[in-house]
Amino acid sequence: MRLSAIIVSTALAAGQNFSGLVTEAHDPATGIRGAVIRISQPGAERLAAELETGHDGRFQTPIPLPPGDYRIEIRKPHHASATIPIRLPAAAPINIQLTQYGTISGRVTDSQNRPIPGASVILMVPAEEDPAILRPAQAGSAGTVDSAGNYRHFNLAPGRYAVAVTWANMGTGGRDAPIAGAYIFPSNSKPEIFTVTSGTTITGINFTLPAQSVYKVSGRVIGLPPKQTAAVALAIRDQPTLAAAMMQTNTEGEFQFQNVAPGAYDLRAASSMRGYGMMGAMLGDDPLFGQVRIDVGGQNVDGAEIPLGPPRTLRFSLQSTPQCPAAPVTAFIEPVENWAAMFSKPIEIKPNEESTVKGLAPGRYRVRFTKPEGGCYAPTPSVVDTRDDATLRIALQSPGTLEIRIPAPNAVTLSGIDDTAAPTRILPPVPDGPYRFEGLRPGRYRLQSGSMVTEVDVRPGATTQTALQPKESRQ
Amino acid sequence: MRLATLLLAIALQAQEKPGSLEGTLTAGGEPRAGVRVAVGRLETKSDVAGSYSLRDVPAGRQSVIIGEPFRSPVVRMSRVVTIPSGQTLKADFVLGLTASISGTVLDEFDEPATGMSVVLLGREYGGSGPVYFRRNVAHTDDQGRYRFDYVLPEIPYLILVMPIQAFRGAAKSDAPTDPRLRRHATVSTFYPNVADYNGAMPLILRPGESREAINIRMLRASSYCVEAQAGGSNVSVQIHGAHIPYGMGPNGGTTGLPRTVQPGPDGKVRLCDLTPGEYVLTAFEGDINQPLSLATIPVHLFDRDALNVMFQPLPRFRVPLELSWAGDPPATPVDAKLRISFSSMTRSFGSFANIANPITPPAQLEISDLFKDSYNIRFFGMSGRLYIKEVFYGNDNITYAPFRPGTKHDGATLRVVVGHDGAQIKARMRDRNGKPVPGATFVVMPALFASESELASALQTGLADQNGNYESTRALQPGKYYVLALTQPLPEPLPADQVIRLMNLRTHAREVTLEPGGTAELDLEPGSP
Repeated sequence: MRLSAIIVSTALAAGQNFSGLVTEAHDPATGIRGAVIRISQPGAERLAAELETGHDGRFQTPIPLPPGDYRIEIRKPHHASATIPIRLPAAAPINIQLTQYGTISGRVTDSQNRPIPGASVILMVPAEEDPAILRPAQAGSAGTVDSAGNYRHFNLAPGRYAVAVTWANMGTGGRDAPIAGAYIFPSNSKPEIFTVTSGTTITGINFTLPAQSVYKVSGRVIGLPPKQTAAVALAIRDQPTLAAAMMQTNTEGEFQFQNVAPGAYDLRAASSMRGYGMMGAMLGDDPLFGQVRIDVGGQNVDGAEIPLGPPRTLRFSLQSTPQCPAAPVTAFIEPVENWAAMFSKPIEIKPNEESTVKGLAPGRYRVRFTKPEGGCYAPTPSVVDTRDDATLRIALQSPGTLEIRIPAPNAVTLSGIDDTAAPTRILPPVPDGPYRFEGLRPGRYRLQSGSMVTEVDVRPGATTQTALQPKESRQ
Repeated sequence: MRLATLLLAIALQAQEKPGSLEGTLTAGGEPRAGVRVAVGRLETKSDVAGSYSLRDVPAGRQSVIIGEPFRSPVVRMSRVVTIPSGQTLKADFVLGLTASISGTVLDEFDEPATGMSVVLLGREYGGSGPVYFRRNVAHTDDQGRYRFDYVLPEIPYLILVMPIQAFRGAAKSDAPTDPRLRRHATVSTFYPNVADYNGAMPLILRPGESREAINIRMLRASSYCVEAQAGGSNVSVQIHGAHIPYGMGPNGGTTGLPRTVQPGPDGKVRLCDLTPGEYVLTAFEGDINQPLSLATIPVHLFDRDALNVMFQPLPRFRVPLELSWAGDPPATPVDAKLRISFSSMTRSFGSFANIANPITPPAQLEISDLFKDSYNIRFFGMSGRLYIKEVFYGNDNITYAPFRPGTKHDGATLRVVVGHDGAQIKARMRDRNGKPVPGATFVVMPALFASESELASALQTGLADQNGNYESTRALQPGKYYVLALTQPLPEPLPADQVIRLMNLRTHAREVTLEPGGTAELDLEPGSP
């Protein structure tokens, strides 16, 4: 009993009051207050310590931690979280830089500068396959305009964004909207793409609704099953993911959009639905789809007819490679064109058997995958067209390794460009390099050490070598 | 007999031709466009001039609903009109404007606190005392800012800020074992910067007001854990503050979903990030609102973790129910079809035990699906002259108190005494010149009551039509009452502080003694007894 007590106290005496400093990546002289430092040992059920940085961005364990290997996770709201492996006792305090998320804010007003509350302000990102097409950014991408006319998007991971405003989510066919339209800043034909890096604050992205004549668009969905209604989207032809307005027909298939701004539109209808909500129709098992083009200008559009046709099927096959035995993955599909319907049902894809998704509208879909079990990765998102009777072949990719050389010892930070949700990984300074990140998802990454920054493509199943150089020597 | 009733009804309808209702809506002196006006299933919207018009409105007393319940710049209101047979009634309505509250939440370094839930709490009477209801929730942005739009004016609100919490969590928190190696936890904080709701300052907004800079600085305190075992891995465990901050108010009502965890195979849970204070642990099998078994246990955290908390959920049980007439049964049979619901005051949604089939006194049956919990009893189907005279559990009169099954001897009966000689009130409000005061609000309160909450349960409010006429909507127990006529409408739902105000206005009210089975008719003037 006494002996064990002595051993414990010896171990503590050999431990170290571990300390460090957390600063902003874009301004390394500014400490981050109140960042949470979670320190854990591999396999332990509980954290060794959970600390917080003080007013100067510094932290220190209040009592020593025993020697050993630890993993540190740093979290701060509105910043990308970061992980860093460390061995205690450490030679020196550790310096960590966190990427601050960006913000985009502005106002939505009418031509007399009066606020227009209730509109959705949607963040859009250029599609990988075709940068001219903007698709809604994922999580938290819609903000609502408040009663003073202001909106604000925050938590924006570094990347490229456009901003659009629409009232389509009201689902009333434009009746309760000042205008049934969708507007990308500054214009639908020439969207401005904003680049967000650490700490980027973009203000004054204001939308002023034009004072213009508006029209009615009415018509009928043809071929509805008995007692069924359809969801209809009045979609912008140049930006197919955006709806100017959405509504539900009556059981005769009739619809009428009001307050429609002049322009080129696609009317898309989906039927046989279980319900209708803010995101459009929840479709039944055997849905029908239809699409027609209309141009609005000068007068009302009456008697538009949307004939319904059968759905399409998408097939997946998951193939093994020598490095990566096939493991089940989950696919998420989202339509490129707005069908006033929800399709985002996850699909389980199993190795060596064909998976099919039935009941899809004829058009383009973006498909993304979850990471399968094991060390391999699913491919990056791709776009398929169901009009081609497509089969999407998926081959898992083996992870890549990145080896970095830097002129003098310093921490190295790695963040994903394709996969912005992945936490930032940081390696502490070591006396003689190289620095190695292993088990990486193939794709594009940003590397940073002090003021040195570069982008690099990590190849699957291989070691990619790169060097970080001060800016002067690169030029 | 039934055929005769039907013929009579048709004959009455034939005499009464539908009429029309039309008028103008204004707010702040301006016509108000696009506001919904509804009578039953008929509805319309006001045009750009604020005008509205409804045709084919059934003649007689009708409730008019003006406005939308949520997210509207105008306050939704109800009014009573009497539509003359085959004629058009002109009724202009003045709408109130909703308000907004905004501010910044700061952390202990006076930095913006991102990721906080800001909750607007209303205080109303429910069951046996004041209850706090979550009326709206906003989240702070990267600058710590929050904003509530479309807030109902003239209602006192408390503002509570707490970290956004996942209401499902890991069975065992990974917080460090040694409290010294934990960071401080954020205390749920009320405006203005207090942890206790007794110190919170209510905000009352004027119509159309934008109240800004309602800033709150979050409090922090040592962080503790509770380790508990409540049976097997099939028993979920929930934790909430014994007072407001995590879950229910002191008398029911909810400030959000409490944190719930499902234990692992060893049946143990570890809940952390708890600041010192009193908590309630709830263990249950199945869904919290329809559990198979349930138990609660209080936990006090002062300066250390609470370890080895052991408790076990108990199965549902039954309580006998006896329904009887007050005094002699009615001389002529009464078509009484009562339904009774028992809603939990500690669990947030639903949580009912019901008497599903309508019952007629005298009757004896059993209430099943009850737990050792606090329930609010509600009675439906009290038509004609019927009223609930008294409710007993064992020997205790719980007419205005919560029903706590299992707190009396085994086999204790819940006894409900139904009166059938209830009285009614017909009142008119006239100004000094004898002109009717349209849209007046009438308040009927008993002269005798034991507490503010008893008064809140017993009082009846209602609206007069355009001629100033009011009729009580449900039968009143015979006895002495005060009847008050107000020219201003009361906020809906009635905030708790208004009950005290109404009580203090008794000196301006008319005293009336209601005889068994009688109907009292009164003429009232504003502001005088």
